[in-house]
Amino acid sequence: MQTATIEIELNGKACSRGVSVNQTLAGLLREGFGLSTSISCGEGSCGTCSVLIDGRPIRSCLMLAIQASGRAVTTLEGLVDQLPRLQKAFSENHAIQCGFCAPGFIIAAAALLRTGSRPSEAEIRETIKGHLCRCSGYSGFVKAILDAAAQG
Amino acid sequence: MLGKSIPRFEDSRLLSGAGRFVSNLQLPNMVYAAVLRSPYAAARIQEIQTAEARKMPGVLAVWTFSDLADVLKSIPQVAPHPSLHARTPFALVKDVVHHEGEPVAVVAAETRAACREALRAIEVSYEPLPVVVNAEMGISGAAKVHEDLPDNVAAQFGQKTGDVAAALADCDCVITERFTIGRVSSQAMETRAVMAKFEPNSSTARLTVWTNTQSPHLSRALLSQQVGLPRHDIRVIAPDIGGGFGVKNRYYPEHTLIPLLAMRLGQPVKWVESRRESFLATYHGREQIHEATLGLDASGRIRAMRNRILYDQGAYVTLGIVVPHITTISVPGPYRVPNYQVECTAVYTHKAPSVPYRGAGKPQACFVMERMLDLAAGKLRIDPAEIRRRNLLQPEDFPYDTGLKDVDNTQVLYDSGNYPKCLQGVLDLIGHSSFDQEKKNAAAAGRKIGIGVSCFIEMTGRGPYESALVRVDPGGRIVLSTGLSSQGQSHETTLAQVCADALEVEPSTIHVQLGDTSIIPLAIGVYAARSAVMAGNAVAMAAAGIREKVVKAAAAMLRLPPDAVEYSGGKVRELAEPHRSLALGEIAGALNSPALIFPFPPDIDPGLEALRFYKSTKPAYSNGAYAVVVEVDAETGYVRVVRHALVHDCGNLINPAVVETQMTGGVAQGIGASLFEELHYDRDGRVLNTSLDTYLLPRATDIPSLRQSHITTPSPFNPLGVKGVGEGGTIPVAPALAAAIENALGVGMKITHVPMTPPRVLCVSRAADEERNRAGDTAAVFQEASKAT
Amino acid sequence: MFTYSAPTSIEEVLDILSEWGSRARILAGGQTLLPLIQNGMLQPGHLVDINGVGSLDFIDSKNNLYVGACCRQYDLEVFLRTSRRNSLIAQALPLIADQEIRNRGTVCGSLAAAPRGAELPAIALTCNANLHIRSRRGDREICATSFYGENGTVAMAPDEILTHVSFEGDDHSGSAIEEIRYTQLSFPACGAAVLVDSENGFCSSLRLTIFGQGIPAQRIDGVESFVKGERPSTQVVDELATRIRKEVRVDSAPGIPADYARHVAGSLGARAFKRAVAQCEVLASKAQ
Repeated sequence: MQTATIEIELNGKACSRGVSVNQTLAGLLREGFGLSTSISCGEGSCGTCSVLIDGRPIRSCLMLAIQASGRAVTTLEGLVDQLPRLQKAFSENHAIQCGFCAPGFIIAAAALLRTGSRPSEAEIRETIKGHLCRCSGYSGFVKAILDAAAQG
Repeated sequence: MLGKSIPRFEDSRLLSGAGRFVSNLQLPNMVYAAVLRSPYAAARIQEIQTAEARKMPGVLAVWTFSDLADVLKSIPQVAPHPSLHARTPFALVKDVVHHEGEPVAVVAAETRAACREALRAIEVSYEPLPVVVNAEMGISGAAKVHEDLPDNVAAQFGQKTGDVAAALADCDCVITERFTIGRVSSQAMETRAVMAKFEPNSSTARLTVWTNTQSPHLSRALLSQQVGLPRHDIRVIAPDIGGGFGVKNRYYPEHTLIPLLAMRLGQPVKWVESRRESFLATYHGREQIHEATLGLDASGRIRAMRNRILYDQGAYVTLGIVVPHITTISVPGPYRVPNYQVECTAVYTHKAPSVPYRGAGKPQACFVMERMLDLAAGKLRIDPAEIRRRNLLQPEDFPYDTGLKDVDNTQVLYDSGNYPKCLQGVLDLIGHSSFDQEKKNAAAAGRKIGIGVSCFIEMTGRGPYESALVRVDPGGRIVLSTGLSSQGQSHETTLAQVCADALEVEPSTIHVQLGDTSIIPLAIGVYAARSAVMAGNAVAMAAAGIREKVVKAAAAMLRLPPDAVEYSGGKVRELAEPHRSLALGEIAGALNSPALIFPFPPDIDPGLEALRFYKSTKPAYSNGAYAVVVEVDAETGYVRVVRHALVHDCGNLINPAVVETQMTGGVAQGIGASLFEELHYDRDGRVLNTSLDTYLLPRATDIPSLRQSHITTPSPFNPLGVKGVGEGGTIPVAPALAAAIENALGVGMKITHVPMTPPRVLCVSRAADEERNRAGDTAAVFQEASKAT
Repeated sequence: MFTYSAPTSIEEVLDILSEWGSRARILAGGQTLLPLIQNGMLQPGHLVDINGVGSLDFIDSKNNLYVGACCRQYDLEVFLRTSRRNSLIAQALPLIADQEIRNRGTVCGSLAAAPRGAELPAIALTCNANLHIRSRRGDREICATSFYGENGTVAMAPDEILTHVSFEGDDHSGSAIEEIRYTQLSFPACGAAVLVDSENGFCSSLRLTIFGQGIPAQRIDGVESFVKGERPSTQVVDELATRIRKEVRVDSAPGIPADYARHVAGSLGARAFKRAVAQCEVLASKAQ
């Protein structure tokens, strides 16, 4: 099994880690670092595993851990400025139910609002369409992101 | 505390990424398991070669049936019925495979990668057998699913009220139609998972199993039979569950295999289902064929209905005839059906077992009844909303005895409701009265829009009992333990609200424990929208028990007779001198240390706790009406949901926001099953769409926000007056969408299959065009003819 | 369990590919490749990660539009927002999956893998894009119309890499892409991409591609020749739809019967054609 040592900036901290070249970034974040990143489909169709790479949201199951070397990786735990506002908005709007998909939606919301934008409902839906939720029907997320944007 | 939309307590951990999902759990020394599944739907296993796999590095076990022949018993099905010829699986295929995806071997290895390599190294020789691919094939006698049965009939049952034949003979309008509902997969965001640890020297439970089961106590009971340990020796923990929808309430082969691995290897073992596996290995829902005959008088009043149902059971029975039976008693729905006859045949096929999936037989029933009413409305030229109004049960009809019997032979008795008010409410919410103009405006812009409406009821709160244990500790902390588990229904919040309301304290002071057989001795579990009614009332009873005891204990401590004190706001006060009071925590402290703090009289036991069982055999019926406006692209069959509305009555509301999100989520699943979702099979019984790219779940751009409002008719059948909400959203969606699509295309009742995907809608659209052209041609011919004369 | 390398020059890439042959796969965006490895459909021996090859990461639009192998779909999407020259590509890019996929997925990766229903191969076909392919055995340039075979096969050998693709500007042409998807994130069940030129209200050229989940991306030659010199009247448009339906090669896919796809191919082709023609007329009137 081929391994390599990677250097990443994880949630603002420089980290060095040995990885197997077969490991996905999602696997590394979950097992190597015990973070919130969850896997639901493992094939990029559901958005549950999304994280930020250099500020851009991507599917961490479709990136090898070794490909993250030299990059800044942000999971939900790293959204320090934005998280309280997003959590408040998600909670007040009863956006989640089982919560399994929540980390991915929070990442998507954080990326969308990072630019200080005030997206419309249609833009929000377009942004989160890659994220599957089986419990909620999505409207709670939409209201929550609209609220969070308004408070920004 | 009741009726308040407080934010959820579970959110603080779930929105921090700290959800306690089984796939996130790790134990020291843990190894992994993986399952080899049959690629054939029907086959005899001739030989399995595992020698190569066993030799591979890191592989600790490779088991087939023969390795477990001493212990494996077939998995019991838990709902016996006299009409049932039940066949159930073993945890590993013994010799004959009965559906694609059945477990043929299990491996355990140090890494998941090693598991995958081991699976690839196992060689199985299969002798394919003839495949029964659907229910119609099953009853045609082509091939048998279970060799030891005379045919493929799993069960045949039915019932009737009145005299349907006589009534039909007397009707002004008799219509017959055939309906088919497709097979779906629940596709919760979290796949199934099992982790097990065996501690041979433990003095409590030696086997601990973490799994995302909706009913830990039920799981434990079956596990006990399967692995040969008594129940008290097993602890089942269901931590946070990422969606269940009924399908995680079943006992699966992995529930046997993983604990057995842990027991025999002496190491913790974890198995997490992959997404692709879930399409085959997590059981399915819904597939039925109905032949319905409805008889009405000229004013559109239902006189009689007859329904013959073929239920595609799949290869095995896991829960008796419960789902198809629910369908049989749900067809009349919210309407007066004076003469009703229903027959159902559950048929074995070479497919994964069909089990209760959110709605559990009710969506199919609603689809059939609502479609028949639409067909009748067209024939009798009565407005679709009006024909429903004429048939809906009225408020004064309750409690309403349908004359039908539930699967346990109890009466099907509707408790309360105001069905016409719900219907009118949804018509108002959707803008029904101005829709004609809206449609004309859209037509002028070249757009085809249409409206559809449906009414439904939802049986909730099935018994026989549920438990609740409330304890107050000396610090005043209140702990509420139940046997429920949570898949997103917000139990930690709603049950805290019920308890807080009864104890007159803040809900945040109540710590709710769920999902662990060790915290409460007896419980049933979560399914069929029963938690609010059953657990809610059990909690209320337990809280009342606490109140009763604290009054007695506080009176003793204050040296007063019990009638000289009163409980309010978490304290017991002297009526005559209210400043003399004792808080719950103080009383609990004294009760926990009797004789040290206060010498209680002998009739007061130590501790402040109450374990109560709420027992009931009377379900509570929620109801509602759903309306939808769609836009149809007549050239492609694409359907866009423009807006939709729901008016719902679930009796007294504990947390309105929780109710609304449950309805929204249910409607979303209803839309998925109505427009997009269907499992497709080839002729060999193999599923063709086993990924989220080909089995399509609705997205945020597919479902607009749902307009909702509530009506409240409390249930007289339980003290809290609550009714369940878990399944309601899934029930009314398909028929309303069908009606809306037909309305947009300007045709009568044509859609008889769920889902109504673009190809099927395009067929309707083209049939409509042909009809119009023929009508046009006919008109032209008449014109020519009349000119000629 | 594949092995992995991350070369930093194209020469290294060619060497590795030459050594490993069909047991190697190029890893660029990974949005098509990694799902196939995850679900066990592909078990490559070696992955060559080209993301470190700086010379492959470029967008050059001085004359034609050149897109390097490492250019992300989203980066091209942003780049083209201010361009008028490649309107068909600009229309197609936002339709692909969602932005998170496009943040990693590469233009060339999609062209080389050509999964059924993908938009970019259809766009490349419509635009007569040129694909630049290299291997140790030599370099070649091939037009998309030769690159994509009848059954959606791709004319590329295991030791070859698509280094970049070039598109001519289509700023004089009317362009349109029409799709039907069941949910808003599925691969389209059927799609049509059109580039049309007209002179004085007569079609001077048409390039029309049909694609979809069960439809190998293909140009519909018969229709293209039929429309030349015609006014886009209702009869012509109807005839165009009929001819597409006759000519298009369709397989069925789960939930997408072949005859449905065939019929809709005609409807969408006609719709795209009408929209592209209208755009052409707008562009023509602006030019006056």
